[in-house]
Parts: sequence; C-alpha cells; structure tokens
Amino acid sequence: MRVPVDWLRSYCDPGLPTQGLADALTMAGLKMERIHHTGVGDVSAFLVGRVLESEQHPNADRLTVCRVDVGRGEPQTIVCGAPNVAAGQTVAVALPGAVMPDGATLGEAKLRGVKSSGMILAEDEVGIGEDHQGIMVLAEDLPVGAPLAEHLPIADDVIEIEITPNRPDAMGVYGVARDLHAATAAPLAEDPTAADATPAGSDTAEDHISIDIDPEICLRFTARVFEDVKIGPSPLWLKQRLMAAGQRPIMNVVDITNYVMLTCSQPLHAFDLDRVRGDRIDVRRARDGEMMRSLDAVERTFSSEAALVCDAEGPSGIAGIMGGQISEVSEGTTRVLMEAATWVGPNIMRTSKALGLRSEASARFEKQLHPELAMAGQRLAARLMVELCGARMVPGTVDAYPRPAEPRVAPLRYTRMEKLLGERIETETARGILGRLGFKREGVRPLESGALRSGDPLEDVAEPAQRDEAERWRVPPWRDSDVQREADLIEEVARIHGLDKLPTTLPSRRNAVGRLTRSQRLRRRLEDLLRDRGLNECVSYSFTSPAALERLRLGDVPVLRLDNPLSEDHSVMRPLLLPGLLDAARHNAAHGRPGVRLFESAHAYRPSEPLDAAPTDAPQGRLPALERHHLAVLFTEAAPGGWRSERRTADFFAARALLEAVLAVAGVEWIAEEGGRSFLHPGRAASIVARESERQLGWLGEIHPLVAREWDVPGPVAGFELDVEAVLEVTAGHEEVYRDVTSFPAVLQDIAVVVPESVPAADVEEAVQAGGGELLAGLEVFDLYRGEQAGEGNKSLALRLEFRAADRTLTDEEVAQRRAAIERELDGIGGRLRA
Amino acid sequence: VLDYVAGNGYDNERVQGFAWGMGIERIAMLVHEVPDLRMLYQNDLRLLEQFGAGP
Repeated sequence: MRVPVDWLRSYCDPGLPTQGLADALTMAGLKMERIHHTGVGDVSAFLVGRVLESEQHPNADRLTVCRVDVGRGEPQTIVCGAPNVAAGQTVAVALPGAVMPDGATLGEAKLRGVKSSGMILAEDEVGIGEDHQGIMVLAEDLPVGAPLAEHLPIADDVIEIEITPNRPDAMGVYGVARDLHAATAAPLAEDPTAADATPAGSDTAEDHISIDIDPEICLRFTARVFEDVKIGPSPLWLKQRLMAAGQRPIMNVVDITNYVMLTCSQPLHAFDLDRVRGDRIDVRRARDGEMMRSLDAVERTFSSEAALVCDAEGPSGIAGIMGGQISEVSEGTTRVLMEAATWVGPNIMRTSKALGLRSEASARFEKQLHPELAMAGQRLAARLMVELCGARMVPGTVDAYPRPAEPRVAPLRYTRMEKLLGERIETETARGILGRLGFKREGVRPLESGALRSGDPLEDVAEPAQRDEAERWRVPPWRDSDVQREADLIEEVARIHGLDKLPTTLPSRRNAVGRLTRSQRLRRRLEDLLRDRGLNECVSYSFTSPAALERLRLGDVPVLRLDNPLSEDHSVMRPLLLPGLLDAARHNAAHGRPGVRLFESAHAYRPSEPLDAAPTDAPQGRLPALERHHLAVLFTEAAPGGWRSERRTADFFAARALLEAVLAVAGVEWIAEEGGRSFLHPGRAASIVARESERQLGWLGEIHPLVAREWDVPGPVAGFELDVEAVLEVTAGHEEVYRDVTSFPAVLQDIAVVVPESVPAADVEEAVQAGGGELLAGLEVFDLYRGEQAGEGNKSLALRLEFRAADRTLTDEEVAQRRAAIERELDGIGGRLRA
Repeated sequence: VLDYVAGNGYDNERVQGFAWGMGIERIAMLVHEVPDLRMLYQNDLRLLEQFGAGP
C-alpha cells in the first residue's frame, strides 16, 4: 500500500518528518517497506509566473517565445511548445536548475536560436497527472513569484507499507491515519466517509434499478443512482493523490471510485446505467463456461465458483474483482449506477486465483471487508459525484442486505492484560489507545469468560469496581475480522503502547538444565559419522510430487496430501527421504558432478493409522499425521578416484559397509533380510531388521536402474534409509555389558562355504550361527569367490569363526562338535564346507 | 488451531504461551552470506563443499 504523505497528513499530522511517520507506523505494526519520492526535486525552483507577452518563434512554427514574470526582476524569456499558451495567463514555471520528476535537471537552452530560461509546465511534467495536451493554466489570483508548491502538489513522499492479511482497513489512507493517531495521539480529522451528499429530486433509486442477490456469495449490495453526470478530467489535487498512490487518473467518475477505495478500503464500481440492460442487477454464481469481456479487454471464462454481477441479459462484471466492458463508464455517460458491495473473502480469493486476475479491489475483498463499510464508501463517493461531476444524486439507496451483521463486543479485563503482557498498563492508557483506534466502551459486566454479544444483559455500572472485572468493548466494523476476542483487544493495546516497551525477562524456571535428548545426541553422532566419511549433507523440501512417488513405484503407498499446495510439484509430504536425494543427485549430475555421496537427516511423513499411539501427553485423540526422523544415504560412487586409488563405483556392499558403521555406532544388532522395495534393484536389496525384536528399520541396496534412469542419475546408485526413531526404540535401555574375554583364550578357525548363487550371505551367517550355538562368539564374512573350485552356479564364502567360553578353555573336541553342527545346518540350505 | 486446542482440553485462562516463527534459512543466509535462499535447497556440491567436510 502506497501512502502519500501529504494525503496522510491531511488526516493526522503529528509534526514528524516522513521518516518519523514511517517509524511510528512500523512500530505500531504497519511495517514500512520503503519510502518513495514522487514529483519534482527541490521545490524552490518552481514558481507561479504570469505570461506578459507571447509571440511566434521566428524560426519555428510550433514554438512560442514568451516573456514571463516570475517576480524576480527582469521577466524570463521562455520558449514554449504548448498550443494553449497566451499572454495574461497565470502559469507554473520551472527555472533553470530545477530537478524534474524523472531526475533530469533543467538547463538554459537555445531553441532554434532563441535562449530559453526555464519552462512553462504541463501537469505530467510535475507528476500531477498524465495530461500533456498543453500547459496548466492556473487561477488568475495566484500571486506572481509565489512558490508553486504552496498552490500545487508538485512534490510528495510516499510511504509504502506492507499490509498483513488481517488489516484490510490499512489499505485505505484514512485507516493508516487512524493508526498514526492512535500511536502518536495527534488529532485525527473527521472521518471523510461520515458526511453524506444531499439528494435532489422526487424519484428514488428504486425507480431506476432493482437488485437481487445470492446471499451465499454476496453479504451486501448497495446501489445509488446519479443523473446529469458530467464526465471530464478530475481536478489536479485528486489526480495527484491517485498518481502518488500508484493509480492512473482516467476520468472523474472512475477516479472517484478509486479515490474512495484508497481512502477507506471499500472498493466501488461505477456502471453506465444506460448500459445496464433491463434496469436490473442480479448477483449470482456463474454458469460453467459462461464468458464475459472484462475491463482489461480480456475475454474471461468462468467456473461455477465465480460470483458475477449480471443485468437482465448476462454478466456485467466479475464480483469484487473487475467490471465488464459492457457497462463501462465512458465519455458519453450521463447516468451512473454506483455499486458498493461486500463479498465473501475466500470466494473472491479463489475466483481471483482461478482467473489469474488480481486487482486492487480483489486484494481488499479477499481480506474480508465488513458490510458496514459499503455505505461509508457510498457516502464519500456521493459527495464527490455531486461536487466533481455536477451530478444529481437520486434520493435513496437500494440496499440488499439480507443478514445484517451484529456489532461485535469483546470483553476486556485489566488483570488479564497484565498477565498476558507481563506489564501493567494503566487503565487510562489502555482506554485511550482503544478509543483512538475506534473501539467503544459499552459498560461493565462481571467476570465471565468467552465472547459476549451486544444484546447480553449488562450491569449498569460505568466503572469497573476492580481491575479483574470485564469491560465490554464494541469492535469497529473495519476491524471486525481481526479483533474478536479479549486477547485481540490486548494485542491492540500492546502494539500501540509499543511492544518495544514491554519488559524483557527470561522465563522463570528453577533447576532446569538444558541438554540434548537421547534422540538428538544419536542423530548428531550419526550425522557426524557420515560427514566425517566424506558424505555431504543435503537439505531438501518436506514436500514432494506425486510424480516422483510414481517414479519410485510407490503409487499405492498412502501419503499425506496438502489441502492447499503451492504447486503440484509440492503437493504431498514425502514418505521417505529418497526422492530429495535423487533430486540432488540429478541436479549435480546436470552440473558436471555425476559422482556424489550424499545424506539427509530429516523428517518423513505418513498418515497416521488407527494403531498409532498418540504421544503420552497428547490431550486426546489421534495424531493427524506421523512424523518420523529418517537418515538416508545415497551415493553414485563409493569412493572418489585419486592418484593412488581407483574410483570405486557404488554397489550393495559399499552401502552395507556404511550402514554397518552407522548401526554399530547406534548399538543395534541387525540383519539384512531378503526383501527389497519397489524402487530397489531386485537382486541387490535388503530390508534392515533389528536382530532380536525383528523390528523393521529401513531399506538397503542399489536403486533400480530404471528408477535411476528416470531421474537422469548415472548408475549404479546405492544407499539406505533408516527410521532413526525405530533405531532409538530398539536400543532404548540398552547398556553395554562386559564379557570376559581375557581369562580364557579363544579358538579361531577359518572355513569356506560353498552355496548356490541364490542363497544370500545372510542365510549362511544365520546357519553358521545356529550350528555354532553359544560357543560361537564371533563370525565375519571376509571373502567371496566364484570360479572353478566352487563349481558352476555356486559361490564360495570365507568366514572367520571365533569360538569361546567364558569359564574354560575349549577343547578341540568341543570345537569339532560345533563344526559338525554347522555343517549340518549348512546342509539344510544347500551349502557345504569346501575342502 | 485455537478451536482445535480449545476443544482438546486447553484452557486459555490457565495456560499462556508464545506463538512465533522464524525461518532458519534466512538466518543461514545472513550468517553464511548466501545470496539466494533457494540455493540452500538445491544441494549443489559446489555449495555444500564450502561448508563442513569437502572431498
């Protein structure tokens, strides 16, 4: 919102420079984005002058040589190109050295042989309007030589403020002035929308127009009729205010609607009443596919969501967003229908989004205006219509307002205010602030929580006997959508009193020591481990696209969908971290870095299921979603190549080795179970399972080549993903316990096991463990061999076995028994010991 | 949100707290002089390697 400072000061002038005004507004919650300067530079080079003589330029048909008295000794000689310049006129003059709105400095110049010392100004040359037809001819009685800035708004500052969605009232200059008044206590001019115009004639508005609305999409529709309207340009002051606020002046009627909107936030729309077919307005939802050409000359097609303002024959405007060309006010207009309506904010926002059409009006309506404001807008517009367009206001207003809004009343206890703010603000200070903001104190009632309605019984007491009694405050309509509860009133007091004035204290806590939770410590440990091994940590969005899940063949996995996604690409919550890492691998591959080793430690999401327990502290009910902390690794090379070592490509075993290191740190006994995921390479994938609890911890393996290809990531690609919270659960309460390994020696044996290719190493380990029993204290696969001695279709695994008993030295016999048992177990899975 | 917590046993006469938010990315931008917030989500190695462990 661009707030022209001169305009703002006309309502409330605390005597501060522009920067001071901006600071006061910022501290009150209307944040200044930047300050602009509009119009000319230093105003002292601009004066009121009088043309003494004007004569044809000797060498140019279209130029006039003027002698202009600017009240400074000799008259200036000025060459002027405007067709309307004439002797005797009072004009606006820029002297050499003047800085024009575009930043250029005016110099003395010779024009076709005649020296010109200055310039006679047209309105666009000082940023007042856009007219360049001719010079401005000023009122005759202006004193020659007077500073021009005293008579024309040729220079202004503009404070651009950021409007939060809860403050549609601050999208009008008077609304901003009200906050300035509240913050500085400088006097506030009377509300420009308070006074109405005087109607004339014996007809009424109903004689000219009938109105019918759908109350589901239109809360209120008011219409007034103006006749004998004289279309023309707006006066300079109005043009300048519009220009400074960022609107182009067009013609008086249109400028009035914009001016009213910029004053009090209520958008208006003017129809040429002679072009409203059938003298009736019907507000209804569009029919699917219905079309209309809007004021910006674009043919629009509507869905049934859109609200349309129609006449007897069809659409005449898009409700709350933009009018239609069919009923546009033009040069020949003499009868105007002025509409001030109140629309349903979310409906306007959706339609505006669907049409890709945002306007100054829709930006206000989507923040939900109060129906009371419609008549405020009508009053100010009516006065301007009469004053500036010479119009006759037809008596009466057609007002379709089926469900009048009740005034809102909120309670306020000063004890509550002190508790919430942490500081006692004096009753009189608080009342002064609320009063300046337009809130009205209605009386007192005994303490009772909850909202009060205006009609509730009221104790007839003017003053609360105690600070903990509730006062009743009536909320002004322009703040209705924002201030509804006691806490909102307290916030109003706090922001105007100054949030910076509230005392800063630390929360009072005793014996509290901050430390990381077990979960946080584990996460950091694992992240550090991966980073120290040279992996790079990624951060990706929690949102992902259904298409990415489709590429992972996860089409039927339940996912959390966003109700209101920013885009289709960010429309679901990621059920695992893999897609983000694949995106990162793709990005780097596309930028010349195909070899990556990445990890991410972050949340993954899924819908909650009936069996999911809510956290113990949750008041009741289920969780809407389950968030789990995951740790995922993805790499396209196991180790980068160097001068001494070959680059190692990513594979299952490299992923497994890294996972082993991670889970060793976490203290998890685990096994890799057969069973991959839809996105993994079938023969080179496994599920990570906790050994004792058989809890699923995640996946491990090589990414399916097709998946990698669809992501444009050069394969092979391997990785794993762990549910860190499951890891925490299986290791909870686990403490390392000493095992006696020093009293008695261990027996070490290496064996070679030949199994068919189809038998995974995990099965071999399990068989050996089963055969070895308690005496088998250690087991490690240390080699893999395929070839002649293993036989076609077989592989040979070399294992190191460590036999140990805590209470004795093992005999050869005992070990031989165990080996025999191991052989039997291996036999069961089709394996044998190799000689 | 208020309706939800009020309906689930939150008594705003008894419990009060702060509602606030901050974007950790903006702080990171300032501290590390990263010119564009989106760069933090691209996971470009040329950026990542400037922080923590490089190759």
